[in-house]
Amino acid sequence: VKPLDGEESSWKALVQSDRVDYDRDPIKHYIRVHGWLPPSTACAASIAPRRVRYFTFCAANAVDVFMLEQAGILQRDANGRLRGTFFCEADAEAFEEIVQLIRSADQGFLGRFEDIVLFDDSPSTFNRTYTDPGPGKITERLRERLRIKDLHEKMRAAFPFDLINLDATGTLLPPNQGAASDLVKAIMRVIAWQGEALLPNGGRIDQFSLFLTAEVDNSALNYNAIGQLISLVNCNLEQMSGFRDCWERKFGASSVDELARARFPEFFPVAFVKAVVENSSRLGWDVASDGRFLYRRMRRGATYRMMSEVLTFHRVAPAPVNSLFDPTWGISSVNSTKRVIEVVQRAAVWADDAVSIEAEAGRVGRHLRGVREFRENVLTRFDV
Amino acid sequence: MDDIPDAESGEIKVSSKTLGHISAGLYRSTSGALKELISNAFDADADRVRISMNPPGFDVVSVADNGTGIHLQKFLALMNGQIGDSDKRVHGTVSPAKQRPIIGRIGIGLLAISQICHSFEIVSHHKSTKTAFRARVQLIDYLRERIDVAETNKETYDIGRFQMHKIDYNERMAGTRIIATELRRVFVERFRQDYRPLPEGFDEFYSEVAQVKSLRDLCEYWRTTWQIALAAPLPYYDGGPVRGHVVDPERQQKLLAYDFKVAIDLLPLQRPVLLPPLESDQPPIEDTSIAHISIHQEVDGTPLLGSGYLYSQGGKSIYPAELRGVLVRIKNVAIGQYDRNFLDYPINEGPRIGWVSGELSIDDGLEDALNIDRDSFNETHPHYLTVQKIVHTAFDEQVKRWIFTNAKARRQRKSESLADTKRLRVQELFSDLMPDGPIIDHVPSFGEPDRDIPVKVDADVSRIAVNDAAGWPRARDQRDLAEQIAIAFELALEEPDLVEARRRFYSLWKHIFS
Repeated sequence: VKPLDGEESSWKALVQSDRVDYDRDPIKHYIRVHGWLPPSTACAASIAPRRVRYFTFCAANAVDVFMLEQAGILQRDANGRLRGTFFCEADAEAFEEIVQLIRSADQGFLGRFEDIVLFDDSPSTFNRTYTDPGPGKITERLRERLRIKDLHEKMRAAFPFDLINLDATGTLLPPNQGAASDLVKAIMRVIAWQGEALLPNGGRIDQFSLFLTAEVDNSALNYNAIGQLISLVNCNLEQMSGFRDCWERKFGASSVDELARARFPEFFPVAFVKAVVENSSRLGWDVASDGRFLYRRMRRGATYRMMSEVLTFHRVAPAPVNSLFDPTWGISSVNSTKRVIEVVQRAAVWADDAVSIEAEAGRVGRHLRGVREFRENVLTRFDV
Repeated sequence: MDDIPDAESGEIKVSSKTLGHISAGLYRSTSGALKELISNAFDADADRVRISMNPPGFDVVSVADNGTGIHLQKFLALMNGQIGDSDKRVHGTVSPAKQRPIIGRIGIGLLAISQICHSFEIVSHHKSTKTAFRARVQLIDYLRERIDVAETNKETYDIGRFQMHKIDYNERMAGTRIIATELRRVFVERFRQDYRPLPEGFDEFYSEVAQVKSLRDLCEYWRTTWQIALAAPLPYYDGGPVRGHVVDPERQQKLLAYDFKVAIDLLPLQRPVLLPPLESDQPPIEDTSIAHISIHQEVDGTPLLGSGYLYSQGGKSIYPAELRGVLVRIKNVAIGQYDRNFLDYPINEGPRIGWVSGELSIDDGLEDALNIDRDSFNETHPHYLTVQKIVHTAFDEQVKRWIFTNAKARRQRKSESLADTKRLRVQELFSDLMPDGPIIDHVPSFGEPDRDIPVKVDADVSRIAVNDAAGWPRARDQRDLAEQIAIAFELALEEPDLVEARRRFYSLWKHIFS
């Protein structure tokens, strides 16, 4: 018996990580119901009779999937296969649970979302594929790279989607990465793919919703990246009077640095989403903030905060010929001031406060129970 | 399980004997590998096995069952050299809860999955102890090359590494899940080639497969699905194995009573044996035969019990061709594929061999004749030799005898059918002259002096005598035509004068060629 070390310990950490019971968590379900369901319903209505294409980081319980199915937004065929639903999951066990649970007819992606989306060929992978790795012995590392390359191609081919639910558990700006983290770069690349990719019928999508959930915790963030966000806001405040008025009405006249220090959970979504809006506009998307939720969680006795943003993208320009995205957080060349102001104006709802009210907790709890019962019915009806 | 640490990792050890088998290449097909995991699930009293292949990427394969789960101690023992050891009888010959006959070996199942992937995870929630673990198993790359240069005097060899962690037991997850995450590229490549999604129901799947001449006409995904359906202890599809016949009803009852279901990517499987596979190919009932086989023997003091059938259809090959031959099952699990050589039948039967399909299910015995891959036999084992002899005897005494009798009967029927056709044609041609319909008699020879006269007609009694020795054309259609012209000639001769005879002949001649 050998002690666990190195790579093995990261696997152990993955296995033993704390997991929220999403089957019974009212906070999360409050956001599903008030944040994700309304734009999903509107989307399904607007594209009907075409079927909704949904990409999700659903956890092993897949409550989001069953909620959307219960609402008639996602559909199964006669044999119980869910159509148009794709998921990505890094953990093999959770992946397998999702496969068994949602019974999608479409492919799941087993791997880290950021690794898959951001894969770029290197000399070692160039002209090689997973199924045709070329001559010579293939090291484990190369094989894994080729596996990710393979997933990258498959995932890209699966785009575009009408609903993208990036329900991440970590932070958007982890300390050990560059100013633009892998996840942020992956989000922007996905937004670019949304513009370029063709639907199975050959058409393009003109609108989609992005649900973005991540941890907001200023003790575990990349200060370089936050510094850039602060600079960007300061720059906007200097150059855009409408933005400045709106900002001061919301946050007062204190400095942006001070705001970021004192009220980080409120500052971060505004600053981050504003950057997403600006950069998306370069890719031909007009982005509206349709909902912002904040909530508190406990981990090993300590509180941390989560954000969940609901964004709706409308195509305003043809897809760019060159999709390569430069992840520099600069000022948009497209006039997106109006949208940026909306992002600032968007009031955040503290979901944990909302469900502390008995009536709301009751409503959310009943709805969640209904989704669970629906899920059980589906699993029973299509038991194979 | 208290004396086992929460986490453990180590080398995977196998005995030199098992290593030799791995070196020789354990499994030849994906279905062979997955079959063993299905057998493990059956032994673990599961009633559901769900196989997921994550098409169209085929980059993750999982096999999940809701059985009793593997106990951690058992898993660790397997990792420490028990794979391939013959310990299957330690816990009895039937499963604890459902009293099913034990059909697999856990260790071989784990080794089997490693044939299609570089690494896999196993998650087990053990029902009776309410304990659970999760482990990652990674086999050494290029194992075979390492084996070739390995020292040969060691008792055990390392073939990979495992890491294990205890996890919380979850009743909802009870059972075993095996998740292959790094699929071998050969597997991925084969499955992606000509990929077609599986249909929604087994009826649709079966009807498509039944129409192909060979399973080679299907993509690997469909072929593997068919092979797994064939191999697993599942009830027959649509009243099989023979259309319109009840064959071995007790066996079908037993299979149904197992309440064991297997699905691949949500397609629920059934045993795809229904002969003939297409209803439209159903031969007349008199051209099919079922030879029933019953085995109640003792071989070297050990029992050999089972039953089976050999279905034959006269003069008509069975399609898909993969159904030809005999399939041996042990406790309802197929061992390999249909053997087209009927367990090395010594006589070349030519195309007749393609008219026969059968299954032989051994309920007790023969298991010790299995090779470690559990997909082929040691052909010198006394049980195997006995089964071989039984199959050959049934083939000789029932199948071949019936085939020859049936061939003769078919020839006779064909001949009668042709005579009927000819009579009807002649009746139609000459109905004005012989309204009662002619009786056609074939006479070997008219004898002197009419030896060379081909036909004699007696119109008054509507009889036609045909001289078979008259030098007719060999081709049947030419002979029929020649006979009709000769009959017309003879009928024309009935006229009193030559002018009338000529008129009648050409009238009939015209009718013949109209």
